[in-house]
Amino acid sequence: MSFSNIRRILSEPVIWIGLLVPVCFVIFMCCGTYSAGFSDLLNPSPMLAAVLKLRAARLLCAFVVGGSLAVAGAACQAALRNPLAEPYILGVSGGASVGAAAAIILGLAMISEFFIPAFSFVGAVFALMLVLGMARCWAADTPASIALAGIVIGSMCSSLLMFIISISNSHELNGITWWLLGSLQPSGSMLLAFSAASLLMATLLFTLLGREVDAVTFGEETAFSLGADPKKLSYILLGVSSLLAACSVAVSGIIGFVGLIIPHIIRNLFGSQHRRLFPLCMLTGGIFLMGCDTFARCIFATRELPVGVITSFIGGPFFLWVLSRRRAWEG
Amino acid sequence: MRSVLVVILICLSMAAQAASDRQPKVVSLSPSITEIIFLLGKGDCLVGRSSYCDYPAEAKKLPVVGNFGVPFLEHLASVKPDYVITTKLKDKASKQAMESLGTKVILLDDNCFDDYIKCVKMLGDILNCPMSANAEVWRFSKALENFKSMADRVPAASRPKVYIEVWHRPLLTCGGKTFINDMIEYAGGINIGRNEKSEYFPCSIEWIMQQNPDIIICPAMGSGKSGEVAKREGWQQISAVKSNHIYTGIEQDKLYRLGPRTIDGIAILRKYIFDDVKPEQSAAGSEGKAK
Repeated sequence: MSFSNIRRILSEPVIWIGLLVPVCFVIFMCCGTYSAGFSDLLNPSPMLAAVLKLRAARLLCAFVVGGSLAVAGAACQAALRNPLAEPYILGVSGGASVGAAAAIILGLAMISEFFIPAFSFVGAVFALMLVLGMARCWAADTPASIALAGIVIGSMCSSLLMFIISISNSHELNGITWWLLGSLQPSGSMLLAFSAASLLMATLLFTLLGREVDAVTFGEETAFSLGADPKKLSYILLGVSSLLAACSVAVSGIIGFVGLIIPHIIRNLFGSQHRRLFPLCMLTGGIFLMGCDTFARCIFATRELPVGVITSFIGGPFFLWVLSRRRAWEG
Repeated sequence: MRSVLVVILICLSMAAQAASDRQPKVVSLSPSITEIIFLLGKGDCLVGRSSYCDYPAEAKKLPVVGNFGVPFLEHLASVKPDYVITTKLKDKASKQAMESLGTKVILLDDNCFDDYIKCVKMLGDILNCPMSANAEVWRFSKALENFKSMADRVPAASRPKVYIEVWHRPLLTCGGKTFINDMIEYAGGINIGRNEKSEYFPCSIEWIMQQNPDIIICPAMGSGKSGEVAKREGWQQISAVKSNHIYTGIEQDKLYRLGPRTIDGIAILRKYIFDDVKPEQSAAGSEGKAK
């Protein structure tokens, strides 16, 4: 392979951002309350080894959740042709919140920590089924109608959540609030493995459908003329991305902003071709959330900030910078 | 004429006596206040309680007129109290609302042992039982003195580090400005969160591992749950887990309420903290220990 070929391959953003993932992983592994340098990583004490294991699990979780939310966000924005669409648009976060809150208030969370992710996943999938069922009953065949059904179910879930909160005691309320704020310390490896597998499969599927998704974003008529089935494709994009969001929300609680902003940043930096957009969203969303979570872990010595605080705080200005840079470049 | 004046004076003094003897009607919106009032023998002054006031058993017979620090205004109005006494109010505006019902609202602190002593004295004055209040202040102060002298016998450097898990989702512990911190110190331990300025704070797993506590006490975890704590990812390297010093299934109210039973709470903590030093004392407190 000639040098120019290597240069050409390395200039492909998917490759170099992919190579950036392990580099970021190692750097973030060294950051935390329990101090560890690069040399300590090679020969850790038993306590440091335990801390590093926890950090590795957490970074892996952050990568999977960040990647899932970004990919799901890009898919929802494409399916609904709406730049404000985000992965929770089909009521997934509402259903998951009610599920988790129910597990806490019924005392199941005291029996085993596993019940919270299990109930939140069931709640999310149940809400998704309700939305799709409702859209079918109304014979709603446009993506906008499905999104409207999602908003209705989301509102109903909010009411249920408020009811649960109103009857919960202070400890239960504390548990529900913290779950809603989101945390990336994985409570079970099975769910994380399932989420990681779902992320890989969904990204692969979306990437293979990339050209058709491009056609759909130009409008239904154009998509038809290019041989794509926009309705079927929208259902696939919305259904699969909501399942991805359901997995993420079960693993980590509700983490906002990633699914909305990362696809926009990638489009601004590397264009809107979906064959490239989906894998880039997976990698960048993962790196972004790993970085935010590391920041949330390190900013205070004793405590951790909810990662959602950091995603908005860092992501917002960064997004504005990307937008202004793009305008300056175009101008 | 003189006899008429004498009769009037006697009537007035009797009325004044009757007024001063009349028991004030009190509502407690705080479980620790309810416990103190019953301890002072003035449970009959209580006309309402919060839903959290569950000790002693007689307290449960009182009508519920609010949650902890949250009055239900219409329920409160129906029992017509002279005083509403609480250690916290979730919504400060509710004080004004209660006062508009003609009730005097007394808000007391409960952050340290001195606050408890002040609280008992004030309740003694309000409920016309200064003798009982003084007796309780003496009992409490004497017990604290005993614990302090026992704790002082152990050099500061060799006192065990204690992690008290106030709640487990998120991991919540107490800072230096809490009565639980003082309880740990009087029991002879060192609270790992003592340098934190906030009262109660969610802490990270890494921070707990870095502090490496010798004793882990989880009052919120049910009896027999110590194994679950020991199995938490990464915790196997913590001294307390290695030496099997994890305690669960404790009567939470003795630790979490600054009240008459606080002394019992310190005694429980002391048993756990000096489990190794005085094995003969550990039997009563070892039911929740990790096996």
